[in-house]
Amino acid sequence: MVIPAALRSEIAEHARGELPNEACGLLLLDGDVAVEYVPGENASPSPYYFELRLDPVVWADLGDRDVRQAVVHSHVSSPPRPSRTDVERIGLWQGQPYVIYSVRLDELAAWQIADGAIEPLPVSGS
Amino acid sequence: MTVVRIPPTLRTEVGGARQVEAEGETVREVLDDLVERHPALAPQILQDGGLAPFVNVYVGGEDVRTLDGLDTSVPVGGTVILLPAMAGGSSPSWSRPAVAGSLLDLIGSTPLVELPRLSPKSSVKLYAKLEGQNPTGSIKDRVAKAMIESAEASGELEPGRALLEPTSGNTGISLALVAALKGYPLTCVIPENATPERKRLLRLYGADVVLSPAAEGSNGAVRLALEMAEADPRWFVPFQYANEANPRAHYEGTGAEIAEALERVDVLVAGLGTGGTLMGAGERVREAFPDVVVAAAEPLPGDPVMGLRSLDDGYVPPILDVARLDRKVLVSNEESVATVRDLLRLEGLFAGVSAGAVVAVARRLAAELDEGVVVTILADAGWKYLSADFWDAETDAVAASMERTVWW
Repeated sequence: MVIPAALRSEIAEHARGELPNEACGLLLLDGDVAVEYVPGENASPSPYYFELRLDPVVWADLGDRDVRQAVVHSHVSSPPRPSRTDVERIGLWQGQPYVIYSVRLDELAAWQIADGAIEPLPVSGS
Repeated sequence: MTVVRIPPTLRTEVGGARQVEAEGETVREVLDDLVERHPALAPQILQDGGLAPFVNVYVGGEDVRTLDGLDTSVPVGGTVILLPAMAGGSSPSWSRPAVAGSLLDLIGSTPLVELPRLSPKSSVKLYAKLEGQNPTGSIKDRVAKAMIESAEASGELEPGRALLEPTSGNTGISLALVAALKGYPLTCVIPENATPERKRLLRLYGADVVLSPAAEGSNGAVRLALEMAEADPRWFVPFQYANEANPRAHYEGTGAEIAEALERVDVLVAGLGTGGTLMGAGERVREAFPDVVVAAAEPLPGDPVMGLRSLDDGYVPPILDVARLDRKVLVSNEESVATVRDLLRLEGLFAGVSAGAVVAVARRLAAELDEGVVVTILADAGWKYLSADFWDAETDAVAASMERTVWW
């Protein structure tokens, strides 16, 4: 997955702006290249939890565009690796791109979670 | 007709369509009609007569869970939107359930407590992770549960087999709990000088006990158990010294809990027994705090602290990679005992002897820092050592033992 620096900054800024809580949103991908970050609202604001809320019509419209979606959320202090909660709550996002940004470490990583297994997706900057 | 908009993650179930039609006056009727037309959708959107947990349904832009749920009415010609219910986060399941279905669900998620009276300076915070608060009173509950469940998952352990494990006591008691709840018979090989409480507890929990020579310590229990297993293949030996589920339980549990509870960790100290805690928790804490010093508290050779291991005594557990320890600090029995008494006297914390060794090492490393956070993992509480006479014995040898410290 390619995440250009400008989009990475948008994610980082959103995550810092939501401190002390986790931030979440969607990253839109053209093939493997990220083209847009759509910040969401954390419907369960907490330093340890997120629940992604977007206007349902907006999200449904995104689904009709010819782009792939990656769910993005921040970890306030832990590394950008899926936690047990992330794995347990992956739900319909099984096998889909899943991006985590660690605010404390300023690190971003992408993953695929399916059947309880976590696979890293390589990320490059451009 | 109602239009139902389908998210990309559910389109395979509807032949790739972005939206489909369904009929009904309420959400329940619409979804029932929808799964009749597209049966593959059923498990994804309906469960146990209600909405599946990982899907959100919107009518008029509102989440039906905030309206009347499945009874929410759908206006004629309206649109129903299905979307993934995405949630997650770094931590929340670290808290224990208020009501658990099984004691096994209460393993782990132990608290951390600060030990301000034992920290050598106020600028260094000293924390203890209280593993004595696991169901059988020790950190080994995590290991026992992980080893048995991993063997069940891989098919190695099936109903009808019997468990055999060498242990200085705590692992046996933990295995006895897990084995009893899951229906496996258990035999433990334990050094004959283990405290009477441990032997008694093992038997009370339903385990058979085989004693190994006191002089050989826990190495002797390992030798005897492996000999027994070789002679009789019906035994399944979880063998915590070589079982990867042991460090994994600490990576996924103990270490992750510490990493997610604290903003900073400069030093992590645990006892060197099987190496599982130091390897697993050490790795996870190092991922979160790359500069952390992972330190092992090791008993002086020939001066065994119950539950800890001296590498010089000749057996290096296969799961232990000493290269991944940043420091190894030797600690005497006398100092361990003096510190476990300090823990009780100054902090009101009734801990096991190995906790004394761990906290003694933590205090020395804390004294080297100008400021920071030192975390100790206290493997068990003091109850199983009550019969030992050190609790109220006079001791003046503590200062002398400090000078026998070796660093590397």
